[in-house]
Amino acid sequence: MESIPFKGLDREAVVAWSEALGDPEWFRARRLEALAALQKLERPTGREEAWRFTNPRAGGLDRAQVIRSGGPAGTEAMDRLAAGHGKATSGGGGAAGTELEAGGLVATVDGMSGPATLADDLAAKGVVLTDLTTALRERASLVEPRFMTVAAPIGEDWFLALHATLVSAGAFLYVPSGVQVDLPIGTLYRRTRAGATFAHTLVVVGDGAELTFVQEHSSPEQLDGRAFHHGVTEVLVGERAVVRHLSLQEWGSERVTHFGVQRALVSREGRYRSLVVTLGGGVVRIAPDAHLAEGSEADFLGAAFADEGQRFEHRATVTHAEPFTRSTLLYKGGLLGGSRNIFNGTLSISPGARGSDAAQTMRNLVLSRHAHAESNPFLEILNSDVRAAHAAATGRVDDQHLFYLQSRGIPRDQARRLVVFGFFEEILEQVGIPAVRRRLEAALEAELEKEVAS
Amino acid sequence: MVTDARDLTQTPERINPVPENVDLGGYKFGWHDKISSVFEPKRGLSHAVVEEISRMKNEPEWMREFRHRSLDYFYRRPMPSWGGDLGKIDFDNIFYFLRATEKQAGSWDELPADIKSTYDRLGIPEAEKQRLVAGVAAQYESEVVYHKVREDLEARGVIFLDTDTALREHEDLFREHWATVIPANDNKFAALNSAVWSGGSFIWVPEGVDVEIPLQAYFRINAQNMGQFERTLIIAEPGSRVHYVEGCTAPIYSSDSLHSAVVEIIVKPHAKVRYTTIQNWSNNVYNLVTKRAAAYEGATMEWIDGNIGSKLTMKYPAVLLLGPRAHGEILSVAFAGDGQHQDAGAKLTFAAPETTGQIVSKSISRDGGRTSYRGLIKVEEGAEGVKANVRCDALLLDEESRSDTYPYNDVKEEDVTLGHEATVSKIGDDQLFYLRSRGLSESEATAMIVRGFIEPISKELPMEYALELNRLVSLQMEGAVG
Repeated sequence: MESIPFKGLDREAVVAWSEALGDPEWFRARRLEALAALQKLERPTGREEAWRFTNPRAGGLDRAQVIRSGGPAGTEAMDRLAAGHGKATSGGGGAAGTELEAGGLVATVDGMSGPATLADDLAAKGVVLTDLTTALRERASLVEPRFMTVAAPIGEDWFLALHATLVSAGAFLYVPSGVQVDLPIGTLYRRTRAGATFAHTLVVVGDGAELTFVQEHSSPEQLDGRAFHHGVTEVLVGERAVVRHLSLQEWGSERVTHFGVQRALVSREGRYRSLVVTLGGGVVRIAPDAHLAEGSEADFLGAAFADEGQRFEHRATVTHAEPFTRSTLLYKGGLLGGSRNIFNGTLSISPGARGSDAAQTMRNLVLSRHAHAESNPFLEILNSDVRAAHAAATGRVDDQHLFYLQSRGIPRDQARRLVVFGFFEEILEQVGIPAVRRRLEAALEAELEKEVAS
Repeated sequence: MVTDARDLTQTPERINPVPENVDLGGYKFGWHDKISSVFEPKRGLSHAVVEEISRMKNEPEWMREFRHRSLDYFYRRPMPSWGGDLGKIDFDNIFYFLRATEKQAGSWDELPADIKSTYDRLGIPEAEKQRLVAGVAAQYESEVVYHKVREDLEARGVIFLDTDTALREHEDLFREHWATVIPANDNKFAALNSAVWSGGSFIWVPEGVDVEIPLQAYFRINAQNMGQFERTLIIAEPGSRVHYVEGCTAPIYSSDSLHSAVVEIIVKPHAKVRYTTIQNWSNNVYNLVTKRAAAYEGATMEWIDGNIGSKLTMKYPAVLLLGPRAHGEILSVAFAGDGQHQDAGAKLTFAAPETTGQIVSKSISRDGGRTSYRGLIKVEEGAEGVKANVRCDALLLDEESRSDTYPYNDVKEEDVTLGHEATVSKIGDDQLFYLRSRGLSESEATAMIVRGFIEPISKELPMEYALELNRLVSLQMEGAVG
């Protein structure tokens, strides 16, 4: 059984799906629990505040088959990815790909994950990296208490319940307390054909440990139909642990609709850094979220570059739940053609979170008169002993900058690219990993080339 | 026919009449008068009630149809799921229309004694006697009961009437502009108002006429479970200027009242309109108001919006900038105490080149109160050279209170300068220490800091309103520090 229709999802269908996926007993029970929750929850219609910017029915889910394996292209992609032995080469839909050296890798193609590869020294230190299906069976004691229980609970909303009912692939990553993982761990999600996929990434980082992990989303430029991808990432950051999380959306085809939920629970004095970069896809809605315990920190960085026909939404939430927490957010977007980019940020400071400090800034650079940018920086403050501020701005390429560069003999097109590049520099310079940074620069260059060509 | 109003005041014991000159330290306008209505009131909303309202007012057919159509829109529209908690409004327990006197009084002395005493307490006759204001309309329950326009304004052709009278006396002018800025189906509460509206002000200022002194109106809800749905329409012809001021109060009842007004303003080329409200409804009034102005070429529209009272306010004065170089400005101050939620804000839509606008919002929360700034800046495609700026400052006075900022910035144009900034702060210990070292008590010092915080807005108010605002803030601040 390689697919089931989304329509007519019932107990029988879910049990059959679960059997085909080889779920252990506890996980089958959880799926059915999720199905029961799903049937009680209301499906978003687009009238809800949370869905006012992205159509929750985008992606043709209603007519889709939920799939768990690729066609020939998928198998080939899997072979290629698996053959990398810790070195993944991912072509971003034709954009210049660069090699990213990784300490471990799990590749998921069209809703089915391949076996994980992990550097021997990391395995020796007790680091666990497996595909989700293996983790459900072999690491139940670690996964069962954490899978969609606290960070992204099943019953919270319709999409989360749907996700838990249908999830077919993904990755599980565990870093024991005190272990430093020097090389980034990669989880790759690739789509090569039409259908709906539900993929889950669960990352557990012990006290005082350190980790960088990268999620990449990609597809070829041509797809045989509409592809809907629903991803949930749960990151549990231990006390004093440091986690850097990069999520890269480089879908090559605009027939991809991607809804991504990224939840981090940060324990005392932990530190979570999220970088979200969205360059490709038709409808992409990414919702990074951090929940901060006493003395912990979150830094959110984001860059989006939208081209004709693309609709992106980045919906960040930071909850300062306890005292002396700190967060920053800096999101920047560039818009071409008739594209749309939404930045929505909510900083919420709970009643007990005294001495907290939060700041968010979002900027959109509108490069076309047909583009549509929204930046909505929200504050919810329930404690007076805090510092909170935000700023948003939307503007165009400054004529004075262009004039200056042109007066130095730089042609207008090139001057414009320089200015746009400079706009994103503030984000790029905060990307700690040189390989990732080079990768982003290359992707941005490619986008800007397209602009000149168009 | 004066009906027995016993059914309106089921729990009269709970309502304490407030003697004159007694400082309540809380809600100053919380007395109520004996309720005497001319029309047999019914609770609840239906096409029959709408028919009854229209028939009693002897309205033209088009208005009757407009009301019925609006009620259908109201039924069809879902309750907003954002903003404040609207779940407790019981639409079937509200009186949609009460008529307090048989006919409108032309002079103060003609008013029935109980209504006169109400407005005496609100201070209207003083204002009128002193000729501080150009015209005064007073609305009590659903209809305007007292009206006076200065003779010189009448001579210059200014029309300042209650909306019902305006419909009878200036139907063509009325119909040309009615519901053009806020259509009946704009939102659920605008639809409700469109179905059951009564009273409000109608102002028409002829081309080039400058009304130098403010026109004023007062609105008061007196009956329990009363809905007040006044409808105001202001039309400023090219090159004219007018400033309209409104105040609102209601007594304290044990169950909730609903105020759902619609205010439409048309500012024609190069005209200027300023609209000032200081809303001080009692803390059991749902205040759900739609206010919007359309500003044409070179016109200026200014909203000055103060929200002190009410249980929940959801109000976002808006300016549609429809002509080149039109300018919109919204100054908003909100104060939320115990049990209050002020979901107030502002909207500017830039739909023409070189339009400019500014929003300044100041909010203060104390005693578990919640203020939310909810705003929208929207720039339409083709609106080149727009300049917009938003500034939101919030002051939290204690650990229990809450402040939210929800600014939406929606831009569909390349050539735009848009800035938004917000801060949240508390009163600094060093500020308090300094003022106390100068001999002020802690509550005096706090009140002084709060007054300084809202000063950018209070300085824009007519003097008597600025004094009123400062006094209300001081009242609200009593016991704020302890």
